[in-house]
Amino acid sequence: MAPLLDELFRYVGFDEQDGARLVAASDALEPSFQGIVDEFYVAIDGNREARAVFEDEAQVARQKGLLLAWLRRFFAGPYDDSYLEERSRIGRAHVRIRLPQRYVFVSMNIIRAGLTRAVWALDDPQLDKIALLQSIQRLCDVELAIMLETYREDYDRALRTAERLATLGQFAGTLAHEMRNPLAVLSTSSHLLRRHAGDDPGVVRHVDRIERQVAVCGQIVDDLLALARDSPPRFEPVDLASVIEFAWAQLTKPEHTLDVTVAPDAGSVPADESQLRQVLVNLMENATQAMTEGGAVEVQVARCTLTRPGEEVDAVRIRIEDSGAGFTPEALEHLFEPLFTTKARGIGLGLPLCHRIVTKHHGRLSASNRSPRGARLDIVLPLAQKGMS
Amino acid sequence: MKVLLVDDNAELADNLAELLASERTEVFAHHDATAALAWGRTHDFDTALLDVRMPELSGVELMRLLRVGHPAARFVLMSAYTQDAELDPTQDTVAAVLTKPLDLPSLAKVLGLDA
Ligand code: HEM
Repeated sequence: MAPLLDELFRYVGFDEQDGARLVAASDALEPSFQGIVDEFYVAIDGNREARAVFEDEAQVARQKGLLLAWLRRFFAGPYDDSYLEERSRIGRAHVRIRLPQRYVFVSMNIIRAGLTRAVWALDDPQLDKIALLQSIQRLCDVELAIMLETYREDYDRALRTAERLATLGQFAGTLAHEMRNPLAVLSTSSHLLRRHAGDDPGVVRHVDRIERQVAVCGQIVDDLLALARDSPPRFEPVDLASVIEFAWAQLTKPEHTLDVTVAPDAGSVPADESQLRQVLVNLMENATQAMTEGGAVEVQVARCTLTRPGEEVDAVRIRIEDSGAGFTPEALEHLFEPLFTTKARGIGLGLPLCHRIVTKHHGRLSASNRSPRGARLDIVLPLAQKGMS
Repeated sequence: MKVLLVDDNAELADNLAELLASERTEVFAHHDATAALAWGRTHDFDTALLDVRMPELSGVELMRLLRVGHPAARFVLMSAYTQDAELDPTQDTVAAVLTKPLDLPSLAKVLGLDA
């Protein structure tokens, strides 16, 4: 058994007998599960902030199903590594939707109360209800502990990502600045060399080469500096159709076309234009690189709502899609962590930086796969920013 | 026109001096700020092109000291650090802050030379 689970069981005092008691009561309690799930959602519905965690009714419906399955598994066993594995996903799902941790304590109490009532209502003189309730409480404690543990892991990972990015940014900045002095000498020297060379074609050819490569180095240095600069966005109304076109023009893409649709009510959004362009260049470049044979990069801009804990705000979604191979499950999990890269070329800073920029815009960047194939990146930016009307 | 040029990167100072020098332009290149300051006490110049980040004296400090004896001179700063480009030109009445590697046509323009 996984050390974590073993430790939790021992700490809470949950043993094989507890497990057996739960499994034995499973059939008798099953008819009360739906009622408990409903109570859970009545409580959530009554709390505006909890309600806002959900994007739409469809997600509520899905979540009800998930919770019912959760209750069934609670009484079905086996309480082994597969159980830990399944339960670990809950904490991660909650981090993903930014569920404040305190909510799970309150909602677990609703479940505890519902199960207590259901056990008391059982009509079975043979049943040791106190012992069964104790087993239930113990497993509820284990559930909470697993949720918090995985919550913490994911939270730590987000923190590490931010720190790693900051360190890398500092390093990139120093490196870039230190490169500028030698580059200045190289470029002035090649200028002088050209002057002295007269029109000796052999020399001129090499001076040309040196100057071109110095320009390439200059570009790399500028890119590194763009990465290192962690400046807060300067918000101004940005025309999305034109910034998309502009970003597209910056890419070299021999075999690709751009297919943009902008909904009339989503033409403009407050953003830092140069930062948003950087995000678009990155994402569209990834899209073209994913389609090695060429093809169309599809960009759709439309209104949507952005759900954050405690509020829902009007927003604009820029969706960028390709028809390449899409992401592997592993890639989807680590996409926004610095230095994670699936490309042969590239250092794995692009997506983390895009993520950082979008987050600084109080928006959300997410990745998923299209069916039957291809990748989808969604940039969601709120329509209102503080300090801008 | 007389240009005072100061950069602790000696090779860059010499290269720039060679590039800027012409029949109409005389360039006095220095590799350290204190030597340049001493030179300034006894010589005249129209424009000073100063690196911002130097040991002993920064380009900004050097400019403030030189300006006392040369109130009519123009000062142009250059730096490898982009954040230096945000030095407040109005406060110090700098003609320009240029970022390295220098773009030679814009340098010539700032200095009032035809490239
Ligand atoms: C004891 C308390 C809770 C339990 C046992 C629980 C259980 C679960 C489970 C089993 C999942 C699916 C995880 C997976 O992807 O495999 C999940 C996801 C989720 N939970 Fe909870 N949850 C609890 C509290 C809450 C609360 C209080 C809220 C909201 C206020 C909430 C909102 C959600 C949402 C929105 C998802 C994501 C569903 C999706 O991916 O569309 N949960 N939870």
